[in-house]
Amino acid sequence: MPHPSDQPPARRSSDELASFLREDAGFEPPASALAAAIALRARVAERQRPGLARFTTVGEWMDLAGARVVDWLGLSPDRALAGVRDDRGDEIVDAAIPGSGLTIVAERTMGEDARLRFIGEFRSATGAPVRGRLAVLDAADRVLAEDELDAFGMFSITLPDGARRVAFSRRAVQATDHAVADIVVIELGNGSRGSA
Amino acid sequence: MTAFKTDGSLLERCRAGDSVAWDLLVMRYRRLVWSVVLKHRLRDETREDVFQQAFSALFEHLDSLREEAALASWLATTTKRLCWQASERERRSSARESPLERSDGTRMDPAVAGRDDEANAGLLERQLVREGLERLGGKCRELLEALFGSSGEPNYALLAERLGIRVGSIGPTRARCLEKLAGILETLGLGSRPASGGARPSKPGNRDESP
Repeated sequence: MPHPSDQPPARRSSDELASFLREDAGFEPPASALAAAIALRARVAERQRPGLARFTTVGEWMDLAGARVVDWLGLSPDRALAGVRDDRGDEIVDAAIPGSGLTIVAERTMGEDARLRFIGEFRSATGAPVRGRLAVLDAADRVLAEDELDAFGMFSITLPDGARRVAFSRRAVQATDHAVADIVVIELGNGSRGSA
Repeated sequence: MTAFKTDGSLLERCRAGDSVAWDLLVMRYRRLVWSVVLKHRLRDETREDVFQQAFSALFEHLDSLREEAALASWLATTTKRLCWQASERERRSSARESPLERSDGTRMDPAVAGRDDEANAGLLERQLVREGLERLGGKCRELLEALFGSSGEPNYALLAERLGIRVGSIGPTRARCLEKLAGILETLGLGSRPASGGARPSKPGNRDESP
């Protein structure tokens, strides 16, 4: 077997990279430890000064989840959220998400507190609970609000002023590096009624 | 895919209360901190405690950490000290044999004592390779991790579908991505060696720049 240094440079770097990546996976901390470290984010958020602009963009949000967009709901006229209303006047979306085995049933509705909310659930084909994270985005794809699905795959998130779309990731940030999460982006449309 | 965020910008955002920046910092350094923890003989539950304490220390020092280029080193050193302290507590509680006494008054595991500096350099070099992969980002990072990061043979058809490229493009794309990564590692002072040990690389002056 030839010594590694005798191999062509490209081959050598491939082998070294493969070795590095395989070894490095062994340094992944337990999910519970990682979750505890990430939970400190709540204390970080407490430092936020009033009126300070949020920096987060949907790109970063997706990077955290190692995610890719699998579907963009609301752009197609037959699945548009804006303009589709139920008998109470709420705007609804009910769509299967191709390639993910998920269905979303949700509506945008005015809460009793006069704040606009996006509520609904994600359902899996197997009936297993869907876990994941939601982010409300503005026109520049900055994250205005975040929330996690509950144990039943349901969500209820306030739509602040300027909300234009909602992104959903099947994975929270503490997942391992190598898996790829699905992202669904739901367009709320330009005619969004501003939240109080 | 967004541009690479420097430690400095993430620290600044954390100071301003941006919790996503905190997530990014934890994700960036989780393996470095855990690798330091693993080098010490600690109980499993103690290891997890130390891991969390290291990031608690980072949170407590957000306002005083100004040298962003030293963050990896600071985290490694802080974690190591926490490991020594935890080891000492475990030693006392279990009345095991005394570990080596250090000149600074702290104690450390005998298994670590002799190779401490060398191990530290290797850990920081490994962290630079992680940074290189993070800077590479996008499909290239995904492709290389899928090809080389799993123990089994990758499913090329699935991988091509996931990345939105033809199966026949995987080989050439891999070569381009490796070349790009080699260039990034070079700017980080690692040359073309995505290795796990060896001497500590020199730090470049312009780590803020995105590739």
